[in-house]
This record gives sequence, structure tokens and C-alpha cells, in this order.
Amino acid sequence: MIHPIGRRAVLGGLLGAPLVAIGAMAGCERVAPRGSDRAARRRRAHIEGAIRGPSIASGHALRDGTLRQDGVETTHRARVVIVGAGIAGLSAAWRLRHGGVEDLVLLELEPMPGGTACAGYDGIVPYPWGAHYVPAPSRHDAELTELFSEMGAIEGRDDEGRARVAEHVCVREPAERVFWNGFWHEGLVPEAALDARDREEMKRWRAHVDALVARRDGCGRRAFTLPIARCASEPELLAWDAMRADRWLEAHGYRSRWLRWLLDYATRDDYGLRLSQTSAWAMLLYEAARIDAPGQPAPPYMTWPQGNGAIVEHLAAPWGERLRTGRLVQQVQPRPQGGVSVRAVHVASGQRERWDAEHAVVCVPRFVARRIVVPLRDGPDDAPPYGAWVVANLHLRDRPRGRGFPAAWDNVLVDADGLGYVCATHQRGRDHGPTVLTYYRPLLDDDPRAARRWLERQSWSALRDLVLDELGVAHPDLDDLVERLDVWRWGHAMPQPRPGVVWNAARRAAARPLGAIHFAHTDLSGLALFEEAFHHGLRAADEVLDALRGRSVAS
Amino acid sequence: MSLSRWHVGVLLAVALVVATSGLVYELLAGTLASYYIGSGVIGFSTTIGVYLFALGIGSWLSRRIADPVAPRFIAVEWTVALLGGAMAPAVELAFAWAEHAAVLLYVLLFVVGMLVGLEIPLLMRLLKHDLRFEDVVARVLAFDYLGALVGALAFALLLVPWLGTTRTSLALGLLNAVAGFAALAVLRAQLGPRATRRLGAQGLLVAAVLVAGLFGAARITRWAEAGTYAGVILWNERSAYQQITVTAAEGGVQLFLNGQLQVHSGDEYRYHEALVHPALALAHRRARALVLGGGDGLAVRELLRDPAIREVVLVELDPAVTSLARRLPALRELNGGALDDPRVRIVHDDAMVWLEARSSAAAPFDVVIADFPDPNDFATGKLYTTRFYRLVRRAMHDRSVLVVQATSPLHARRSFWCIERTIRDVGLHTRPYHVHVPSFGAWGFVLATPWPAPQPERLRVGGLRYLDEATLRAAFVFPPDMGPVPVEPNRLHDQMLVHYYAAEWGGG
Repeated sequence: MIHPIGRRAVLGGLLGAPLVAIGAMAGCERVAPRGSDRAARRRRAHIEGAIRGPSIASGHALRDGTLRQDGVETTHRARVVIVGAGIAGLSAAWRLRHGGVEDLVLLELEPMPGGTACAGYDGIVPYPWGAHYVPAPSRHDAELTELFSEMGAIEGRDDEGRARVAEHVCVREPAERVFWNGFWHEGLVPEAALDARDREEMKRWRAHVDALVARRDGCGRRAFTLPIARCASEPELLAWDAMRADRWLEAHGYRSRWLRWLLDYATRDDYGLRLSQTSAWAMLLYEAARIDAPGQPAPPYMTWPQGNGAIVEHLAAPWGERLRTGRLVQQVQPRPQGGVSVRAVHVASGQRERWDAEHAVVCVPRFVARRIVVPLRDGPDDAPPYGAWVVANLHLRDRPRGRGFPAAWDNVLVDADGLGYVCATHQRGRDHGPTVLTYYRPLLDDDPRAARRWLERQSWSALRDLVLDELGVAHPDLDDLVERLDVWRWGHAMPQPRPGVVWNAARRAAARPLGAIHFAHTDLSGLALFEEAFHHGLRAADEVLDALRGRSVAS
Repeated sequence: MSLSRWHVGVLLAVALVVATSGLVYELLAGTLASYYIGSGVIGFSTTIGVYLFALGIGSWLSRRIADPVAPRFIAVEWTVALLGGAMAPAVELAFAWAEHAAVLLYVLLFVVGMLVGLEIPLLMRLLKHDLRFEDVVARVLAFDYLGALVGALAFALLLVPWLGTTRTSLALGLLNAVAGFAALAVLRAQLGPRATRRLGAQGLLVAAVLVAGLFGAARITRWAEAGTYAGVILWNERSAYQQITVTAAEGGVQLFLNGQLQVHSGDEYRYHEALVHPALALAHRRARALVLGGGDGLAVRELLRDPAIREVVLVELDPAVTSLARRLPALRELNGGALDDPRVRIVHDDAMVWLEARSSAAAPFDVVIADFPDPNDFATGKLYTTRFYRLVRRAMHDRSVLVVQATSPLHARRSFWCIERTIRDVGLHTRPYHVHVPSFGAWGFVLATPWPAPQPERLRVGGLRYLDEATLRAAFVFPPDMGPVPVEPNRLHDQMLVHYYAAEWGGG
């Protein structure tokens, strides 16, 4: 389960062999590898940095009941309390504001909003700490189109009704490059590596995806679309959700190494899972859901230097003091006289707050919701499995050298466990000098809890070496150029669509409101796509708006 | 076994040749180190130090060389000929293709220095039976120092200007080999027939390699980036952004960025007059001008000829370019010190980043000149996108004029019309034109205005060398082989221009 050791063993086998052989002859096998480690440590001694991450400590204090809370409890009122200011919570707030409800508060544990879409602002350019792009919304997604139009990221529609993405938001060319066999190549697959069979299978695959794009059920619903609540639920499709993606490919005759590599990269990138760990349905969703019609290209990616942090900034902007960060919500409880009371503690001061509201929208991961929402406490464990991720931001004084195709936005390494890195200055158009590179690596263990335990134990220098060892293969001068390297440990980065997770009755049930308590989070879909978080937020907000309207009509 | 007077003379001539080539190797290494390190002081002082030290080591080691000296001296000659001859091509190739090429340079220099250090003591030992000690020292050292003078003068005046560094290195290697053959001929009696044949064969092999190198020098030069320049290199530095090279050839001065000719003093006035004056002719106001790129100061020079200009802002990415334009006499003479004019303000930033960060409330410019290198990569291509021209438009008012250098409408026809189309795409009215610049060929520009401007007719500045009103009128006429072609606009996420450009210039 421990990736870095596995990888190092392989590397040692390849590169260290001659050294080890010499060492063995001299009767001191351990000297050579340790010597090279020492050299790496010396090369990296100037690098500053720290481990960052969600407030694991306060989360665990909540779990273990050891949180300091000695202040007097103050009582406050709002029509709606939103617990959690990630994309789902902020989207719910956005919808409520558009629906005329401004008397709301957002309670957020972290010092900044955004959840896994948060960003860093202490570099020469803002940079992402998590999600960093969104595919342009499909023609049918009016709400998301509206949000991005508000942001100036979409400028009207083209003749075919597709959103026209603003040029500075559309990923700048070159979008991607891939490191393989000692060189960077254009695109995500090195063109030179493909043989006739790879090409044939890729062609067949595209036709297959087009067929899935066209597929409709008896009610005219698409087989694959976003949000997934709008997908058809025919038995064959649901059976694919119970199936492993690699088995599905096998059954459909897809064996090309490079097609599989591309799809495996896609599932690692979007879900933090290998093909063998992903539901076939989820893999197909990723491929088919965003294409408007057969034969159409996939939508362009929208990105900002700080990644989806730019969306967070836009969504959080109207709320000011109403967005209360550093608040750990401990209890969400229906009140006997109607409405909800939410208890929170200000982590820094120990000050306690009670919020009495007509409605609460709980936009936190299910494993947290189950602890804080009182009526859920005795229910079954209906949380999906969660993947752990390592995200590192490397602050460089200059651009690293690399052989082959020039630097792109997304820089992927074929023979690596990580996903490579994105460059925060790329979208700005700054192509020389200092930059910030964001490195992503999902932990691919079969048992996600083991990955979390491993991650918790890692020191900063171990994680620094993990990142630099991997990227150093493509950029020999990287150690020297990095000035600061911060690592974010995401223990519960995202729900994982392993087989059977998405089309699970528990998912649907968890989304239903409990009286005045509503739920929104990607956990309720079992896959962490921006569109899912957004639409859950909207759905929950609509439930609240309907209820509020119903009441005002009744009175 | 004594040597005749004639033989002694030959050996003294060999000493001269050895010294000449030895000094040339040292100067070559100094020159190469200066190019690649980017500092003449560091380049020359380190190479001279290393080389003299190596000479000392060689002399000191000579006492370890046992008799017979003759075959060993010849063997040293062959090795010096081969390593010295290969030094420049090897180092140039290494700089172009490998990392840490400087290490190779210093290692080769050290080895050659050590071997040259061996040569003079060995020569003295060869002569010690035939001359008195005082004579040996006096004559050999005299020829040695004379050789140094010959080498230094020849290097600066003949070798590098005529042959360039690669061929100089190979030619001097060959000269070393010739000296070796002369010594072989003189010493053949001492060596005996077998050793003579063996050493002769080795010498022929070395000479053959060097001759092959000389014939292949053009190709080696093509392989080695730094060897692409025809003239004498006046300046060569690797800045944080690019390779900047200034050469002198054909009675003029040339500026190259990353090996791409930017300026040729012989005809740059044609380019810069054509770049600047049509825009001035069209402008309603001419008080504030913005120059994007163009750190050589030549576009600024043309602007400053117009007394209406009160302020010029120059946005150049690379501080090394503006610094060189202000400092290097050859360039300063060309731009007339324009960059030190009190009306000029220099900003070092990426033009796109600067325009984006610029407050939309800041005063707009009356004239904007975009003088970027050709769009041969994505980093430069972004400076020709719709996004970029929208940002430029934001820095203009409704009566401002923009002019863009737009590569050759003849050699890169689609690239030229792609730039024109891209500018039109952001709602500006365009007036493409072209002139003939011998160094570049047919060269194109695009005038762009927020209003449908007429074709410019009256120049604001008289006495230009190239542009007069008749030439200006003709510039807007496109013959059929340069006329518009259907193209896509160049966008940030879809840089058509970079692909067109690569197809058009890459193939030729």
C-alpha cells in the first residue's frame, strides 16, 4: 500500500543497480543509496515549506470530544443557516440570494471558504490547492451558464447555442503535454508511441462514446448527463455501475495500452481511482456526459490561475460578515417548535454560537454530517468511501528545463503515480521567471483508510522528496529552482465512485431533507464533480425556497 | 646523433607553430567561455588561469618523460593536433546539445594546456645535444614568444573573422599536425624506419580526421546553435529570456535573438521607418506613444523624430536587450541613444501581463507600436491573439492608431493574413501594407484603428531615407502572390498563427 516505497524500489532497481553492485563488491551495500539520499537532501536543503491542510486537528477534536469550548454561548438568528462553504454550500447561497433570501449565514470550519476548491494567495500568482478547472457547461445547463456569465467567463452563446467561453478563461494553448521516454510530447498521449492498433481502438472508442452520448431511455433521458440526477436508470446502465471499468473495457474488446492509459489517467484525475477501482458507469459518465451531441467535441476547459478558487471568490463575494469562517459546527438539531438550531464553536477563541433558523442546509461530507446532524447519529453508515490526495505547491524562482515540447498548462508524466502538475502563470500569459506549479497525486490504495493513515504519518520532508523525486525525472534542475514547497494533505479529498457506490439507494436517500434540514454535497452523488456540487446546492436551495414560499402562501 | 643546422631551424619553426597554435587554443577557449558564460571578464580570466596552470603542470611532468624523447614528442604533437583541433567543434556541439558543456570546455582546455606545456621542454631536450644550453633556452623561448604574438594577431585579425571559431580550431589542429610531420621528417633518423612509419600513419589518421572536420565544418556549425552566425560575434549572452547575439559582418551590425535576425544595420531604417511613420501619419494626436517589444530602441528613435511626441512608454520583456541597446556602442550608434531620451520611460515586463494589469482608468495612448519577434512559439504567439489585441484596444482611445509588425506576406502568407484577421476580429479596422527590407525580404505590417481610417498619405516627418509619399502609397498595394488568403484568427486557446508560422517558415 505504501506507494513511495514501491516506486523507490522500482527506481532503485533501474538506476541504482550499478551503484548497488559496486557497493556489494566493496562489502557495503547500504552506503551507495544512503549517499545519494544525502546528496538529494543537500540539494534540497534550501527549500522552505510546510504541511498545510484542512483543520484535521479540530476535526479529530470533534470526533474525540476534546475541543476547547469554554466561552459563553451567544444566540443568533437567520432565516437559513448553511453549514459548510465549499462549492455546494456557496452554490446554495447563490441560489437563495437569487431567490430573494439574503438573511442567511454560512458557517465554515476552515479559515477560507471553498473546500476542495480553495486556493493560495501568498505566491507571486494565486494558485489552486484543489480543483483547478471546469469544463464549459453544456447547452442544457442554464444555471451553470448563468453563473459563469455573471463571472464574465462566458460571453453569450454561439450559433449552435453553446456557451462562448471568454478567451482569457479558456485554457491557453498549449494545454497539455506528456513526459514519456525522456521527452515531453504534445497532448496527453505521445503521438509517436501509437501503433495502428492503438489508433484503431481509439477511433472505435470515440464512436462508442458517441453512441453513449446519443443513447436515451423511454422517457427521453440521456444515459449520461450532468447532474447525474437527470441520467436514465435502465438496468443495463445500472449493472455497469456495479462493474469494474477495466473489466468493462476487457468485455468490449479494448486492449490498447494507450487507450487504457488515457482512461486510467482520466479516472485518476477525476476520481482518484485506477480503472480497476472505478465503476464502469462512472468512467463512461466522465467520457460521455459533457458532450452535447454525437460527433461534437468535448467542451473546452475553463481555468484561472487560482483554479476553481476564482469561482469561490465570486460566490463568496456577496456575503462578507455573513460568511463566518473558523466555525466548527457541532450540532444541527430540529427544534420542537419548528425550524432548526445549529451550534458551533469559534475554534480560535472557544466562543460558542447558537443559530436559530427556519432552515439549515448541511453542505459537509456525509461522514461529518452523520456526526453533527442529530437525527442522523443513530442511522446506518451511509457515507461513501473517500480518497486521500496529496497536493503540493512548488514556488520556483525560474522555469525548469525539460526536453521536447514546451511547457503547457497541464504537464503529465506517463510513468508516475502522480498526475503531474499545472502551472499557475500559464493562464496569465507570464511565460518566464518565477512561477507556482501545483502537483496532484491521489493515493491509489485499495483501502482508502490505509492511505489516510499513511498520509497522516508522513513528514513534510518525506512528502517533499516524494514530489521532487517524481518530477525531477522530467526536470533535472528542479531541486535547484524550487524555493518553497508546501504540501496539502487531503485525508478525505473526495467521495470515490468505486463499483456500486453511485447507484446505491443510500445515496438517493441521503439527499432527502429531514424536515427543515437539507443536504447538499458531492457525497450524495458519490463522485466529486463540480457540476454535482453546484446542482446539489441548487436543489437544496430550491427545497428551502419552496418551503419558505409555501409557508408564506399558507400564512 | 646530431642534427644539421637546417634541422635545427625546422625544429625552431616547429616551436613557433606550437606556440602559435597553443595561444590560439587558449584564445578560442576564452572566446567560447565568454559566449556561453555571457561575461568576457570571467570567460577570459578563468580560461587564461586554467591554461597557464596546465602549461606549468605539463612542464613539470616533462621530467617524467624518459628518453627517447623524439617518438614521445611526435605523439604529443598528434594528441595536441587532435584535441586542440576538435576543441571548438566539440564544445560548440556540447553547448547546443548537452548540459554542463562548460565542464567539457575546461577539461579539454586543461588537457591541451598540459600537452602544450610538455612540448617546449621536450623540444629543448631534442635540441640539447646540438646547441649550447644558453642557445637552446634563448632560441626556443624567443620563438615561443614570437609564436604567441603571431597567434594573438592572427586570431583576432584573420582567423575568427575569416574562418569562425569552428574552422579556426580545426585549422590550427591541422597546422599542429603539419608541424608534427616536419618534426617527424627531421627526426626520422633518430626514430628508425619502423617507428617513423608507425608515427607517420598515426599522423595521417589525425590529419584525415581534421580535414574531414574542416569539410564538415559547415554542418557542425549548423548543428551547433551558436555557430549560426556569419559575422564576427561582438556580443553573445544568454539572458534570462533568450540568447542575444550581436555580430559584425558585411560592413554592418546584426542583432539576433535566439538565432533569429532582428536588426541589420544596413537596412533596418527601411523596416523601422515603415513600422512607425504610417501610424504617425494616421494618428489624430501624437503626444503619447506605446512601444510593445522593440527593446533595441530603433522604433523609439523613429518616434522621437516627430516633435509632437511628448512621451514614449517602452514595454520590453528582457532588461538585457534594453541594457545592451543603451550600452553597446554598435547598437547605441544605431538608435542614437533614443532609450536615454527624457521622453522615454522603459518598463520591463511581458507586454500581455503589463496590459492586463494596467488600470483601465490610466490615460490612453495615441499611437501603439507592437514590434515583437515573429510568432515562432506559443509564448510569443500569445502576443498576436484576439485576447492580446483586446487588451491593446483598452489602452487606446477612439482615435488611436495601432501598428503591428506581421512577418512576411510573401514567405509566410497565411501567418500575415492570420494576424490581420485576428486584429479585425476584435473590431478594429485594418490597413495592411508591406515594404521591401533586403535582409528580411518582403515584410508586412498591419495598421489598425477603431474607426474606418483612410489610407495614410501625408507623412509627418520629412527627410526619411526610405519612406516618401509615393513609396507609402505603393506599400498598400498587394500583388496577387501576397494577397489575402482564408485563415482562422489566432486565439489564446487555439494558436493557429503558431501552426501557420511553423508550417511556412519551418518548411523553408
